[in-house]
Amino acid sequence: MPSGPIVPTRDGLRVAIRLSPRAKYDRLLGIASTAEGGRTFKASVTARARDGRANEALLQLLARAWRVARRDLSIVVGAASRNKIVRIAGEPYQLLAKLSDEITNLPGG
Amino acid sequence: MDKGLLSLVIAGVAFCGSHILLSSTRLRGSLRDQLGERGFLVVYSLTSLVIFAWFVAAYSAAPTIGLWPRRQWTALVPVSVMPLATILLVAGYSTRNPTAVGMERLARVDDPAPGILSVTRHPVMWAIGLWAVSHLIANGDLSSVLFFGSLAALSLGGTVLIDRKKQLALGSNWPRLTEVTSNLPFAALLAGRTKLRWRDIGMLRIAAGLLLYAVLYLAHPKITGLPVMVP
Repeated sequence: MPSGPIVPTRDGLRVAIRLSPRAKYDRLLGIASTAEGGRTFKASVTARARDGRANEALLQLLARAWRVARRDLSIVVGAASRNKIVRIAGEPYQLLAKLSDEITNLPGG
Repeated sequence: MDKGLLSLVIAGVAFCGSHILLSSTRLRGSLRDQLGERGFLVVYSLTSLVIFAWFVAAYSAAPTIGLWPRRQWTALVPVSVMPLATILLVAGYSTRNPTAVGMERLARVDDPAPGILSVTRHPVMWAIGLWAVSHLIANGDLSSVLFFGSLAALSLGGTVLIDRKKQLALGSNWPRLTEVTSNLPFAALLAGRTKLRWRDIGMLRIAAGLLLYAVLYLAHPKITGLPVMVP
C-alpha cells in the first residue's frame, strides 16, 4: 500500500528515508516519491556506508533536525540499504505535532 | 521550555547544587561534626552518585538542539585529548596528593609534589575537566553543553575552591607546594619551576592510562550506546 513518509504506530513513528552516503553535507534534503508510489524523506551524510557509520550519522542528523533524543531513534528496516525505515520512540501524536513544523519547511513537504 | 530540557536543567542544578553545598559551605562542617569524617564522605559520595545517575538519565532523554555543526575536527578533539585525561586520572588516583581529601599532612614531606603532580596539582579534576570540555565540543548541542558544561565547571572551578581551602589548611606548607606545582597542566613545567620526572610518574601508570583509553574507546558503544565518531 502506498503511504506517506511518516506512519504513526502504537509507541512512536515509523519514517521512510532514502539516504545518500559520501555526500558533501550532512543534510535533510526533502521529500520524494518512491517507485512504489509512496513518499520518503531524502537525506545525505558525508560518512561512508561502512561499519554503520552512515547509519549513525543519519540518526544524529535526524536527532538534530527533529529535536529528539538520539537514543529514541533506531533503524528498524534497511540498515544495509539506501531505503530505510527509522523508528522514533515516543507518544506518536506529540511527535507528529513536533515534526510537522519541520516538515512543511522542506522542499516537497 | 521543552519537558526533557527542563528535566535536564533541574537534574543539573541538583547535581551542581549538592556538590557545592556539601563541599564548600558551612553544611560540610556541621555534617562532619555529626557524622564524622568517614561518615560525611560516605554520605557525600552516595548523594553525588545517585544525583549523577539522575543527571545522566536526564541527559540521554533530552532533545537534541544543535548549536554548532559537527565537523571532522570537533570529532577529533576527544579522540586526541582523552589519552592525556586517562593518564591524569590513573596517575592522579595512584599518587599521594596533598590536595586530596584528608591528605594535608603530605605537604610536609620532603617531596610534596611527586610524579604526576609536577604536571598539575589537581590531576583527577583536570582529567574530568578535559573529558567534559572535549565531549562538549564534539557534541555541539544544548543538552551536551548543559551536561558536560556543568561537569567541566564543577571540576575546573573545583580546583580553585580546593586551592583556597588547602591554602588555609596547609598554612606555611602551602607555598612549598605551589612553588613546584601549578593548577593549569604543564604551567609549572613550562615556567621552569619543576622538572618532568618520567620515572617518578611511572611508565606503568602511563601504560595503564593508555590502556584505560583503549578500553573506553572500544567500549564506548556499550557504555553510551554511541560509537566514537571518527571521520
